[in-house]
Amino acid sequence: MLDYKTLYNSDPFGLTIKKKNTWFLANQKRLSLYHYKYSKNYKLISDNIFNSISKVKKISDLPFVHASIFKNFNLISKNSNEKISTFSSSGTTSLKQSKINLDPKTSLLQSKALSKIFSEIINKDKDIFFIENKNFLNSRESMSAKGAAIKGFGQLCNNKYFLLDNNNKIKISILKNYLKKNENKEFVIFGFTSSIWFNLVKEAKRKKIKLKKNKGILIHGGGWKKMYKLRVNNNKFKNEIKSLLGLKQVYNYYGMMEQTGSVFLECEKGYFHCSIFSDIFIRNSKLKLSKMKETGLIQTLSLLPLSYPGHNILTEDMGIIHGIDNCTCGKKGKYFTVLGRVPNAELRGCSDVT
Amino acid sequence: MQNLEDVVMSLKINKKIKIIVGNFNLKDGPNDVFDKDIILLLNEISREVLNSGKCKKFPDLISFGFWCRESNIRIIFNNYSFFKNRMGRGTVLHITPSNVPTNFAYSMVFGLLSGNNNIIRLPSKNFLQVKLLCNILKKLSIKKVYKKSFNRLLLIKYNNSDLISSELSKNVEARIIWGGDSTVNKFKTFKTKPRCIDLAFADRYSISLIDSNKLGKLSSNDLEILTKKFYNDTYTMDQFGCSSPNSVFWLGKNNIAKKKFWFELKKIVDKEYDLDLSGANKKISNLMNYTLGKNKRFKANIKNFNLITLKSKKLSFDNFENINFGTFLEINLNGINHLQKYTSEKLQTITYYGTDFKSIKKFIIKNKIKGIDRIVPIGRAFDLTPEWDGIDIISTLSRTIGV
Repeated sequence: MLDYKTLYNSDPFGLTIKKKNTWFLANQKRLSLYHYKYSKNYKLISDNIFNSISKVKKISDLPFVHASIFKNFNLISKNSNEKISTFSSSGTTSLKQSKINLDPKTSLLQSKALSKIFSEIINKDKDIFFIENKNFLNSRESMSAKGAAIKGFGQLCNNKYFLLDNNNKIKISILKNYLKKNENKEFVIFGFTSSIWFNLVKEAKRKKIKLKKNKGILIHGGGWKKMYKLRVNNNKFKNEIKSLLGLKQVYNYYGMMEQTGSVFLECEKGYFHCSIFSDIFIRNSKLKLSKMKETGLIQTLSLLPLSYPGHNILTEDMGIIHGIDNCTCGKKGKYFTVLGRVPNAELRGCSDVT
Repeated sequence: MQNLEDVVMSLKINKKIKIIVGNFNLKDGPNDVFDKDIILLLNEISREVLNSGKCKKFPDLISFGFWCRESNIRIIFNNYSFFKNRMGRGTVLHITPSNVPTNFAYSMVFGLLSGNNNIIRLPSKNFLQVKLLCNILKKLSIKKVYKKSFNRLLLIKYNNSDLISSELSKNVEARIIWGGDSTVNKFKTFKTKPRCIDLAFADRYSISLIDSNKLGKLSSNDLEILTKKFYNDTYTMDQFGCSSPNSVFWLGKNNIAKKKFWFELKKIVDKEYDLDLSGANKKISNLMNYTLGKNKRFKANIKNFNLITLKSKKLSFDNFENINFGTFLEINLNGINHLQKYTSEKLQTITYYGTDFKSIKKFIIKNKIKGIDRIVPIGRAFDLTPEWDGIDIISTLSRTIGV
């Protein structure tokens, strides 16, 4: 349906905005029409609130959905009898969890996109460590966002190691022993931000372990809400990890379960970048597009979701676009920063006495 | 059984509640309704509010200031000329909403005018309006002339606690519970005296009813004034007040007048309404969740995000959820009797233009409507009067002595 050939054969960060826009509009439009046809919820929102998809001439005019609807409704785009597995977001601090319906095809697209986005950083020469137990890939959860990530990264790397034992307790000794034998080897650690903090960092601190400088890199993303509560920001996280584990580089990415795979990778200058799989808009309080460098709500677009209408989402995060095509890191396209969750609206009125 | 004074004292000593104003003395009261000393005190409060530079910034405080001056209280008193041998019931517990800063003040005045002692739980949020009013009360409370009146008043704060709420509920003669279904239901689970009276204000919604033909006859200046009033009824509290209309029902078929109304409103909204990112996020979230939850087709235009109207022919009363932040359902009626299917006992206020109380009353009787407890002209949605939600608060909080 989409132009998958271009998608998987291009440099994910190589297209200038001009080249990307036409191509992305055509594909995103096709995807929108697909969900319009197969998801009654997406159709209802499109019909009620937006202009007809076929008439849209700008990516930003395509119908989007608000992130909260994944918490309250079962969203599915069903076109075949493919087996669909439903996953709930884990680890979020809010009471209601998002539900995502994944089919094997979408799951595969997500894994492939992920490995493509990270292909510059990781490759077959490197071994990889997951903050997960080794039975994970055989469990039902292996189809989830985490599963897609582990499979995607796993394919890219050489040997895979799992740092949690059968009781989900962290075994830093695995990493220590590896370093003894492979002193100058490059390797990768992957995990969700909070999972790295609460397992790896905590355990290293508890056991007073400090690893020698090595050639390891850490890739992490998601789960910032818990971290903000502990007043741990991106910089503090990076510094602590580097000093405790002796790592060479730490890469953060911005992504959400609803758009697994098409994550936004942080460059060495500290900005998140759109890839060929994704796009981003910032909207102001009138839902109009914000100007460059102006704070607003983050809207993220992805070409990957097929089994649920998660291809165009207005998130509850705030962010700023800092520029297009001119990040000094060399990657093309839009680059941005994330400022965290939008505060809860102060409700006025009489139906609340807390 | 422990008496109320001991309960309050022990809670205070244990630092579970904070006494903001008052020096509780149960021995004082019940009293006469519309007691002279109370009216004097209210007039002094009014003077303090209206003369304070700090209060000037808050329109809701100013409204309250005008409302509680002696001349206005006399007008209210005149509506109660039927009162004979009336006095208070004893002590009233007021549970006030956390989001409407001045609600507690009105509730307090109703409690005082009906001759009762009053324990008032203040909103937990630190509204400046609440602080300013409490400072005025504190200042007046040390004056000798008001000493007796302040014996009947206790303003407290405490963090949400079932224990405290139930302790306070045990010994009072009446409770006035603002705050909607969940609060009302919660308080109904607490034990009270068998004769305790509850004034419970549950979740309600409100609408506007406008005759477009009459609207079309307004001069542009008068239309501007009317839409400004409509704006105040709706946008000032993001449509969260239960008496704030969430929809516009049109009588008559003057489509040009309808368009002009929205156009004028939009002008005011663009100039005065300032929705922040949090509000915008909530608004679009509400709209989309409403769409999927009700599974109804309508047409909304979010290009004009500050003023959204939803048009549909297939809505009924159970679709009248507040989407808030300037979102209105818009429905054309072929005559007032067609309003019937959009009403329920949850319908509280109709603000109107171009029709009147008599026509709406006729409609209520003819169609056997249980809802609709307020029928007021556009602009008066928020006027808190002693008749609220179909209850005459001052009458209910007082008792008639048979002689």
